[in-house]
Amino acid sequence: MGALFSVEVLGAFLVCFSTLMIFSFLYQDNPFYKFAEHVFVGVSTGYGVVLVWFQILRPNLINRLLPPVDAVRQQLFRAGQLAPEAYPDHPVSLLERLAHGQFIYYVFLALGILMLFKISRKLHWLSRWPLAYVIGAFAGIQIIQAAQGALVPQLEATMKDFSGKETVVTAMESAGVLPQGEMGARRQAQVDWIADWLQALGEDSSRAAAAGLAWQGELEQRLNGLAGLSDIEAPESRVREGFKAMRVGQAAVVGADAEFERLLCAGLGGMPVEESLPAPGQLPTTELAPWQDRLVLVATRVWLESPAGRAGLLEACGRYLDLAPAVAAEALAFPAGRPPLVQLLKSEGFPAERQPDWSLPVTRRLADSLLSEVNPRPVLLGEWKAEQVRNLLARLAPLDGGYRSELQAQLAIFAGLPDSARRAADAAFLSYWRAGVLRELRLLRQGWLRHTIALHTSPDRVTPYTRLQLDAFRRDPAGFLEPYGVTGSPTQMRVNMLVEIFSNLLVVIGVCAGVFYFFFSKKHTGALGVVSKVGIAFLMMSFGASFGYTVMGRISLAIGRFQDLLAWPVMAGTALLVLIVALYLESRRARV
Amino acid sequence: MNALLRGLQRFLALDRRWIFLLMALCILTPLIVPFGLPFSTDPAVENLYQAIEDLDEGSVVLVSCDYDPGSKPELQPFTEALFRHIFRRKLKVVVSCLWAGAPPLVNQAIEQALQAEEVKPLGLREKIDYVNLGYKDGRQLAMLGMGENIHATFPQSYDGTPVSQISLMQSLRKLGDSDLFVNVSGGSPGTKEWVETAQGRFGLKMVAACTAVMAPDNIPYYEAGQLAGLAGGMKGSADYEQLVGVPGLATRGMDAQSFGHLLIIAFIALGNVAYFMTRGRRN
Repeated sequence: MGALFSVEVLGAFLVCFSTLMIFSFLYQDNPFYKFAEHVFVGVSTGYGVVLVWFQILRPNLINRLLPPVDAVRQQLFRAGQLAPEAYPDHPVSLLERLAHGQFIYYVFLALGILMLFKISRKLHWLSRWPLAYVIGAFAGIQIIQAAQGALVPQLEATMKDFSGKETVVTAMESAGVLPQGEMGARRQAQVDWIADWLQALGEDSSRAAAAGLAWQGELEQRLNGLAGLSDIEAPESRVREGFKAMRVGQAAVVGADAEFERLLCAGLGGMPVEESLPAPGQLPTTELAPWQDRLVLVATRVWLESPAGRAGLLEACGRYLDLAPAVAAEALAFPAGRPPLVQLLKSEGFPAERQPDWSLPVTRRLADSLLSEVNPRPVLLGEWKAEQVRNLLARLAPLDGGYRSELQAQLAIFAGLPDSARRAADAAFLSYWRAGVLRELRLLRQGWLRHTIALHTSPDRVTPYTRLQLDAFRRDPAGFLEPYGVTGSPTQMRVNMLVEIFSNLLVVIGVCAGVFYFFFSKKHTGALGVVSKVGIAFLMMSFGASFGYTVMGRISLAIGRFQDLLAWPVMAGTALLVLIVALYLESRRARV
Repeated sequence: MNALLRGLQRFLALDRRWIFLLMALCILTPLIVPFGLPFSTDPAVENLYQAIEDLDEGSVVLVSCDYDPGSKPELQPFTEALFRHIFRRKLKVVVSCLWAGAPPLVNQAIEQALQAEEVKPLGLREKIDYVNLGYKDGRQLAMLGMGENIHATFPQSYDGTPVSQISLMQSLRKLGDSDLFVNVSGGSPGTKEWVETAQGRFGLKMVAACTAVMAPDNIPYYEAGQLAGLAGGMKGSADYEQLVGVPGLATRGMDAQSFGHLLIIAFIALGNVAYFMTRGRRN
């Protein structure tokens, strides 16, 4: 019996009964509905008042005007006016608390009080001051936000390619004409890799400087080319973001070039004695190759000026030099008493060909040293470079086939590597040639296809290995492309593309017609009448779609309420019975 | 023919309370006897799921839960699945609310997620792995404040702990410090305002879940790439539950949703047929 009247049971009954009382309005207006409605309003108001006090007024206003005792003690302790042992028992008077308050908040308190004058007939004008402040602040915020967050990005998104190529590929992939998984994942991997790398360039100013000062044109051109392969994918925006970040990084570094030079000079030769390095014998022993050590040291001198730079370098060294963070940290530890870096490099016995060319501008030297890590340029030749290329190839292993091959080929050419690299170049070329063919097939531009084949099969670009592959393609094109999943007929692809173009045109017509409907300066007759009727039709379709979502939302709410009721089926049934009886009695009473 | 027309005329004059009753039956029946109708997941929700999957272990996710019990059926299942997903991926989560009614719902969802089989052994601790900062008034002003200094905007967490004493908050000083921003929105301030602030102004990667009524307004943000993923209404929540692999209230509500929609479609079709067929007679 006790369990029957427990708080939980009573609570469940109240929940069910209140819900059903609200639902009873669907039958007809009645006192039970009104009672539940008033209870709801009252409870909500009470909850709101408590919440505003505990979550808004107390922490944001009262505690700032009249700090709690603990907060005052902390302030005194920080200011050295309170000994640690006296901390827990130190008495804090009300006046002391007031003195430690933030006085600017009295202004906001005053503004808040002025709001209350709204209810005064004589002084209600005083409430306009805080209102003006609030409206002014909101207007200022809204203008900027609407422009930055909605207007510009939305306009940008409407500037779409109407040829249909962007969407037709997606459509073909969905239809199974193009291999969705393989191609999608591959392009995705390429775009992601490029985007990440560019992002890193932008964030890491030393690498941005390297790329910007020594290699910018070539880098941008090549990455643009590679990114172009992916312009049918949504992540294109990531690539664009990457470029943006890179340019920002470059601008920042180039703008601070003089400072950069000064720091580097300090790092490379003019280091003060008190900051110099320990004797060579006392250098930390790590797995660093000498060139890695050099790179770390050079870069460190640039970066050590800022804590963020130091953290960034640690991370970058770990990532780019295959160092464990601990090793990088050890390498970056600069105990007092190290000799100048040039002396150090010489004393470490760096071979002449590995020494940077000190006559070059210092930024160029840094660029070269850093680029040698990213993509070896013909600065330091020979065995070292071969080692670098192998290193990079191993690092590129997780990347997708097509892009990796391209990089392999480029690296091989840079390093002047022999046959193995030649084969890699062939494979890369073939891979790109295939990608080119695929792309042309997708776009259904036969002229482009012929042009691409002619371009890729010109004598100066074809090696014997590639020639064999080309012959294989000529003998059996379908079999050659089969691994790439190109199996749909050109007609099918053409139809898909036309449907996509039609769909895009429909959007344009709908938008224009809708805008014309709202042009009221001229009577809607003749051609304008027809156009505005079309606009109305599109608007109705749009409203219909929104209405559909609204219906879905309302049904969801009903489902939620029923789910709540079904959580206590017995209580819900009892409450329903009680309510029906009560409604019946009430209707009889009303009739009498 | 006359009998048919008379029937249609009577249908047009049908007391709306019969429609309410039929709708109640259509919703209630599948909830009591589930049919398990199949449904496919929306790509926008898949992208939302993927955005969380892409985060590295230990990344900080900032979740703004801006809804109240009025939107609970649509959004609470999403929030529960979201926390379960986040905890399972060993991510850190900081929750803020711009709606007064949200903090208790957040705590409920967190508690529910912590009780999950795969989450329990992880031994997650409040204020180290997750924290509920509670409610903040001020709409866009609060958003801007968070963009510049979350510690100043939320001086204390929902349970009154000063943020300076919360270890998780030491790595999150402003919006930009989070790796992903998730907005669960039941109205305004909500997704629209957050897109303009968090994404547009501070450049955060953002995903959102919203009520079905709001979905048409938010789809353009997804299409434009401002939102990396979007879950709309109970269907969005059900999709997300499916992807996370924790079918819950939203998934169970899908049968009822489908039956409700079918009933409305039937009434719309029948109403139109009756209207046009009896037009002459009424004239």
